[in-house]
Amino acid sequence: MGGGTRLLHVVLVFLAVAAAIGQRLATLQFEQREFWEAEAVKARTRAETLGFKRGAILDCDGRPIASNRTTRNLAFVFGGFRRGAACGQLLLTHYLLTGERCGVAEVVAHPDARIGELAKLTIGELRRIEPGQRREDLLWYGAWLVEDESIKDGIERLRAGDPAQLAFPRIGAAHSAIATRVSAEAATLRQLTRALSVPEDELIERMDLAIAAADARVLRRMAEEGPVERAYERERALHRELDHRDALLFANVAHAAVFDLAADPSRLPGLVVREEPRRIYPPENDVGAALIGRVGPPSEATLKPWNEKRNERDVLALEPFPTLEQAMQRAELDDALRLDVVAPDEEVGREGLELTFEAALRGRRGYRRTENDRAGRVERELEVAAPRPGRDLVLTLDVELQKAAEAVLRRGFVKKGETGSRLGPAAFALVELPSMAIRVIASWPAPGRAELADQYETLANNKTTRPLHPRAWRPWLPPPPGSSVKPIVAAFALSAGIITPQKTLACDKLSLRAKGESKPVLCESEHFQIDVHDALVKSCNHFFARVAYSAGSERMVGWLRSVGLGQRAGFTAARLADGTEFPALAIEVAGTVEQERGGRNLMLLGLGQGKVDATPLQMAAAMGALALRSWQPPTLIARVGDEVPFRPAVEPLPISDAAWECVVEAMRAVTLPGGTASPSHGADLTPWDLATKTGTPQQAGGLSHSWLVGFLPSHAPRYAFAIFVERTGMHGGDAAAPFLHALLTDPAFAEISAAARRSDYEAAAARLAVRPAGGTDEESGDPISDDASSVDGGAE
Amino acid sequence: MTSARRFEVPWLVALLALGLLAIGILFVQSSTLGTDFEGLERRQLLMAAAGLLALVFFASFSHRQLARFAFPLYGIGLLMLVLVPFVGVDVGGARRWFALPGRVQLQPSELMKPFLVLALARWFEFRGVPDRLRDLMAPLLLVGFPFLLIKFEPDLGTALLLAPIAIAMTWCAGARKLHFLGGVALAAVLVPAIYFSPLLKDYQKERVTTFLESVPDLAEKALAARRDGRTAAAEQFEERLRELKLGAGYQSHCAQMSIGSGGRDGKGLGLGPNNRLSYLPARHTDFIFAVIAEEWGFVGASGVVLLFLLLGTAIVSVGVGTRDRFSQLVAVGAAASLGMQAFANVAMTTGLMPVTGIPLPLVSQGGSSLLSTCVLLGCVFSVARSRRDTEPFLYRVEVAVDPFHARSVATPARDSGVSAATPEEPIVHTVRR
Ligand SMILES: [Zn+2]
Repeated sequence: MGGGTRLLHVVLVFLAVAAAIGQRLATLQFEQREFWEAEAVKARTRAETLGFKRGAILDCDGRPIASNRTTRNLAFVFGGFRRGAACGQLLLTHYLLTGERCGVAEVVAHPDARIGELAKLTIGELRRIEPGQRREDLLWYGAWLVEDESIKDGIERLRAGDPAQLAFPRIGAAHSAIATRVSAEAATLRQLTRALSVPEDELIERMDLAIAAADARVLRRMAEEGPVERAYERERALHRELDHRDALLFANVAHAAVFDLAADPSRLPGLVVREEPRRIYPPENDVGAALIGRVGPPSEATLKPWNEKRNERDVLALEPFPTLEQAMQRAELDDALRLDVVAPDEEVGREGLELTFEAALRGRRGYRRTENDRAGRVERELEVAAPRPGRDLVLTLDVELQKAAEAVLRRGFVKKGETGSRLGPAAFALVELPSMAIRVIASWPAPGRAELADQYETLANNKTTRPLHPRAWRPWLPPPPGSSVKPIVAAFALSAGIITPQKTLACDKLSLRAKGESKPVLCESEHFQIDVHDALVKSCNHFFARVAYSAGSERMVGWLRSVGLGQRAGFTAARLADGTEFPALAIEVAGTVEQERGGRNLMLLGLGQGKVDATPLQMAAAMGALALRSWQPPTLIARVGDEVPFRPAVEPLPISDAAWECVVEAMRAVTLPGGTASPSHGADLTPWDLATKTGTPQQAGGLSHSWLVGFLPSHAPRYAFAIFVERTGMHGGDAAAPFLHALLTDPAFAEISAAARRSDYEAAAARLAVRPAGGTDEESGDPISDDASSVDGGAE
Repeated sequence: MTSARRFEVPWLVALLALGLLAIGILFVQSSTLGTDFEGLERRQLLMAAAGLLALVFFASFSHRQLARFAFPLYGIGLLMLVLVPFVGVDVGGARRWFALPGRVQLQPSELMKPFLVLALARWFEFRGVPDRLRDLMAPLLLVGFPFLLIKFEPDLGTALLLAPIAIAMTWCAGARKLHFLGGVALAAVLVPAIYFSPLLKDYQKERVTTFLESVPDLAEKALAARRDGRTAAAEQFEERLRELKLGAGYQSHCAQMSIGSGGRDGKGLGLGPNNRLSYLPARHTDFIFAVIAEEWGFVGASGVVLLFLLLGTAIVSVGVGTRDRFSQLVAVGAAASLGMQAFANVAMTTGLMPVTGIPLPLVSQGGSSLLSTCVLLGCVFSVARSRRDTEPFLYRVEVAVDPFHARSVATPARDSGVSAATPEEPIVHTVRR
């Protein structure tokens, strides 16, 4: 053998080992490089979606009816608590020692007992703890409890050594330090309890419940999986997997209450303040809950795209060698899932405007990819896409007026001569002219948001008042407008030359019959010969029955339709310049106006009976059309974002100046002595310059309804309105006029009231004024025609 | 072997050691930047200075003086190991350290390594070629005492590192091949037996099983199972993966992630994200090689391995160049200690071996390891001069070139012997085996 052969062997062994290492390095750094790089990137980057701010719903003055608030929830994370808080660590050491959970309350109350049981643990006892994992865990928790610099130094070496002699003797030395930590945490808990103003033990009790829930979750999973070999290890793995979940302790807590904790989460690890933008409906502006609607978790159908896209992406992700096309498709899906598609934890519009304007109110999520260090601190932002907030929806509604109107309706009305007020379903709609913007659309009953949420079933089953049907725009059965259509019929008939202001027609109260029919049209009183002015003021049925009969079915229906009756008002719809259409609420009620073949039914159309019905909103709009002598559908939507929605063109109505003057003159007299809404009826409306008309239609199966419609001021119309009171069995002047009086005297309506207010002198004069040409019922002695056919002839 | 290898100072060893030391300080700085340990490299620099003093101190002795001190030093080392459970500081529950003034902690188990090398060399020099089984008993005891003391500190990793020292030195001392084969056979039986015996703790077994599994393979399997719709199997694989990544295999996984993502050229010094963002545990100590591999890539990492290979070979060649048994055995022991510790650390970091807490010599932060390495190198420097030693040999060495194959006749020959000028000359009384 040559010299140094055996020494050469040593070198050969070195070479062999170095070669093996070199090969291993090559495997890791060349062959598997991409894998490890991907793992490393995955480990240190974190992606989070950034929620968008849902667009607000504002009234005409920018008052938020629906807006967003950062709500703060106090949540409990068991994983963080047991790892970071001294209380949590003691809870765990007790569990690992005894196999039983003790309550947080117990740890807080008697920390010394828990520390003591650890400190007196002998190495022999420690060795008997089985399995090894449990023993090691106990040692870890002990090490965290001691929170000692030298422990920290050595902790990384812990796994390298036999941990049988670990730190427990030190716990005795650290006793007071641990007790101090526990009492600091207890103080934080007490302070929180006070700030949240909950009963003394409530917070800790809820924490205990959350811990119990975490245990139950793990046990359930283990039960599902069936018996496993290493139960403790499995339990531990499940806890590690599940314990990072939030358990909600208190929702919507005040910012001030959790300010300290939010600023410094290390005060009590495990208690976290989660902030999220949530839809709120500020109570002071919370009107028209049924109209505004609500948000909620997305429905199954809404989540379908999310589920489909996610499945599709998961399938693509399994592709081992994706083509370029597949890769692009996957990126697209990722983007859609991240940014666009409705995700399960979102709030989406479920009803009302929140639903129909979802596309505008909904923004686009953003996302942020960050590089984090091991402790989770953000090192730098890799990619940020800011969320895009949703567009605000600005309504024409005036919340102050709406609230006042709802209050007036809620109070009911006092019938003249009675002391108590009568409360029943009623509605009030106010449309501003000439914009046809809806300022008020109030109803009673109008269940509030809380009531809708809590007692939906009761409300839905209430068949007497049907509270889920706001009368102003969604009555259960649209009522006939009754005599309130008479000014419209009169204006068109005068303009069409069917009648003249001077022409009188006969009224005999009982015996007006269409040709060949035996059933008569009735009038309330016998008006003998009556002209259009008086027919409006006294609401003579025979006059308008004859006019309708003369005009014929086609013209009658055309007139009524031209002011929006018989079709959906579509007041909640909007169309934007880019072609986006937001449909009107499907539950908006249309009302009907149908062709009558002729005869008595045609006559009834002239009195707003028969095959015509309308919502209060429609009647307010029709009055607006009469006031303006042009038609444009009313709207509730002022702006979507910065954009004013497209409005249909204004259609002029064929109403002549003279006809308008004649009709409005008569409408002014309705609230004056001798009119159907004179001060001797429900209320004294003479202080205001009003053009009104009452209506008292019959509807099958009950008492008659009461209407009061019109506009103000009559000389320069700025608002059109309709008041509807359901099944009072009373005259419009008796039941509806008191509401108008109450509204016009309400402080919220001061501006509108002032615009129409006459001076005291004018009011007194108006009250006394007697029309020179016409007369009262008693004075009217003109001969009447008792033959309807003669009207026909005269009209043609 | 040749006159070219005769160095008074083994410059190659010195240069390689200094190079590794410099790399170590560089990466201690890189891996502690921005952490609680920032500035540790200055401490490490001080340690290096202290280590160099120790090196010079030990190098200043002649190899004969070293041989005379061998057993006393071994005795001191053993005494320290006995004392450390009683007066040592308790760090993380293990008592491995003596507290010295100035926040210096001394780990006797580290110092035991050079002392063991000296003691074994002295023993084999004294007793000649161990060709009977009972000749191996004394070396076994010499290793066994410190092994058990260190094992029950507890510090199994350091204890196990005594084995390659003993094996290499016994082999080079001329132990019979048969005895070695027997030893290998015994190990083949004992290792599985120990694994299944209650001697090994659960967590230690766990560490063995986790290193046998490969994360990329398992990830591939899980994906394949998902693709084929075998959900239950996929979930099992995924659960196992979680355990490997976050549970028992956490450190190893992090280290492999750092190494793998380094690629060929690495991310650049101080720029490795895994290092910078603290994804690597114990990265300035036991796992510093992973930082090197991440930041300098395959080029740098294999370069460091190469440096260790060269250092080991250079130390062995110092041994080859000496002419007395003690010096050669010291060199072999030093090479085995340094080389095998380095390779064991790298193997652990790269996932070739279960994780045990052993530092990378000269590179990892840590005073005791550095001090022990410097003492070892000091001994190497000392014995390197034996070639020119004017002091006559205590014992005649019949074959100067390969004293290990000579049957020691051990004739006291203080003033005779082989002259330094004719080392290659064959000697008459040699009995070759
Ligand atoms: Zn009449």
